[in-house]
Amino acid sequence: MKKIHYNLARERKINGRAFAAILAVLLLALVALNGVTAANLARLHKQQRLEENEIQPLARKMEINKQQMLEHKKKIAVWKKTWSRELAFANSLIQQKSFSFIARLNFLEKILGPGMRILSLSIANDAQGRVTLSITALAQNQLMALYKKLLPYELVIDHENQSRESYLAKLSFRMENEKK
Amino acid sequence: MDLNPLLLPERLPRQIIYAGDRYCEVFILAQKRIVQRTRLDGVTLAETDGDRWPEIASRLQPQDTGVVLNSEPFIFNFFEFDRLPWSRKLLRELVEWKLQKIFPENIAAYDHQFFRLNRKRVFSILAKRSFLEHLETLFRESRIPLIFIGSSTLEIMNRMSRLKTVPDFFMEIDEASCSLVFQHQGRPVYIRKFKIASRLETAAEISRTVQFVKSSYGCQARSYFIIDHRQQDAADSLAAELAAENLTRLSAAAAGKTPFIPGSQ
Repeated sequence: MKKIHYNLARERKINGRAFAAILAVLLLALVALNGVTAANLARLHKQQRLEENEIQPLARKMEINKQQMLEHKKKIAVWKKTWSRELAFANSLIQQKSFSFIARLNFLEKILGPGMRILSLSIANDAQGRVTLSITALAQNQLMALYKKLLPYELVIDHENQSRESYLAKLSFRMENEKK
Repeated sequence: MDLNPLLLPERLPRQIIYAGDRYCEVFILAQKRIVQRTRLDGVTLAETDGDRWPEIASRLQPQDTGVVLNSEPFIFNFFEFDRLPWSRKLLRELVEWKLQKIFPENIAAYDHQFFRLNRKRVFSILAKRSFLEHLETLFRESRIPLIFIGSSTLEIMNRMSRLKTVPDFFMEIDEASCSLVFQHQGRPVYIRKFKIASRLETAAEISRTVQFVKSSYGCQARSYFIIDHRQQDAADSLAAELAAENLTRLSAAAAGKTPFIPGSQ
C-alpha cells in the first residue's frame, strides 16, 4: 500500500539531503535523457550523411541525364524545324508535279460551247493556280451559260464588252489539281 | 498521488513526544536510533493539562521536535463510493458531504484529511483544531520548533506496509485504550477504538470486532500483531485469551521495537 503521509504540524521543514538527492536523481535523469537524445541525433545525423553520400552520385547522374535530355530536346527541335522545311518543300514539289495543264485544257474544251473562241489563255502552276482567259461569243446567252458552268470554280469576271458582231469577256477561275 | 512528499521530503524530528493515555514519553533519536527514552507518568498534552507542560518542555532540546498522538484524539472513518472523482476539490466536497451525514458535530472545528485507498474507498481522519492549536502554542511559547504532529496508528500502518508478512489486523494497546486496525490486501478496511477494561472483556471485544469485520467486509481475520505501549506480560495474557478464538499472534519484531515513532528502526 502507498504510504499515508500524515503530518498536522504547520511548521514543516524540508529534508535538505533527501531533497538534494531527489534533485540529483532528477538532474541525472535529465542528463541521461539529454545524452540519449544527443546519441540518437548523432546516429540519425550519421545515417543521414550515409544516405546523402549514397544519394549524391545518383543526383549527379540525374543532373547529367537532365542536361542530356535538354540537349536532345534542342536537337529534336532543330531536326523538327529542318524536317518541316524539307517536308514543305517536298509537298510543294509534289503539288507542282501533280498540276495538270492537259486537264485544264480538256475542261475548257468541254465547257466552251459552239461559236465561242479563246483569244488568250494564261495558266499558272503556283499556289493560286488560277486560269485567266479572254473569250468571244456570238450571243450573250452563250456567255451566261459559260458563267453558270464556271460558278463552282471561284469565277471572277474582269470585264465584258459588246462589239458589233460578238461579245468579249475577260475572266478567271480556279481549278483544283486532280487527286491521284 | 501527492507530489509534495515525493519531491519535497520532510525532515524527521530529532526528538519525539509520544502522547499516550495519562502519560508521555520523550524519545531522543540519533542516526535513526532511539538514544534516550523518558517516560513521564501522569503528564499529558491535553488542553486541560496545560500546567504540566513545563515538565515535558524541560526534557526537550531546542531542536526539531515531533508529537506522535495515540488514537484517542483522532476520529477515523472509511467511506465507499461508486467511483471517486479525480479532482481533489470535488473529492473533498464529496467526502465532507458524506461525513456531515454521520458526524453530529461541526466539521469546521476539526482538521479533516482524507486519503484515497483505491478507486472506491477513502480513509478520512478528523482531529480537533483547538487541540492542534494548543500544541502549536505550547511549543511556540517554549521556542521549540514543532515540525511533526502525527498519529501512532498511521505510523504503525505505514511501517507495516513495508513488511513482507502482514497480519490480518493489528492492535495498538495503551494504558486505557485499544485500537484495532483491520487490513485487506495491505489497505486498511476498518478501525475500531475502545476503552479497555479487564483482560477478558478486552478479548471479548476483539473477538466481537473480528466477527463484525468478517460479516461486514468478508475479511476473515486469523493473525494479528500487538503493539503494546504497556508491560510485555499484559499482551501475552491477552494473546493467550485470543488463541482460544483461533487468532494467532505474529511477532511484531519485524516492525521494530517502536513502530509508532517515525524515523526509528
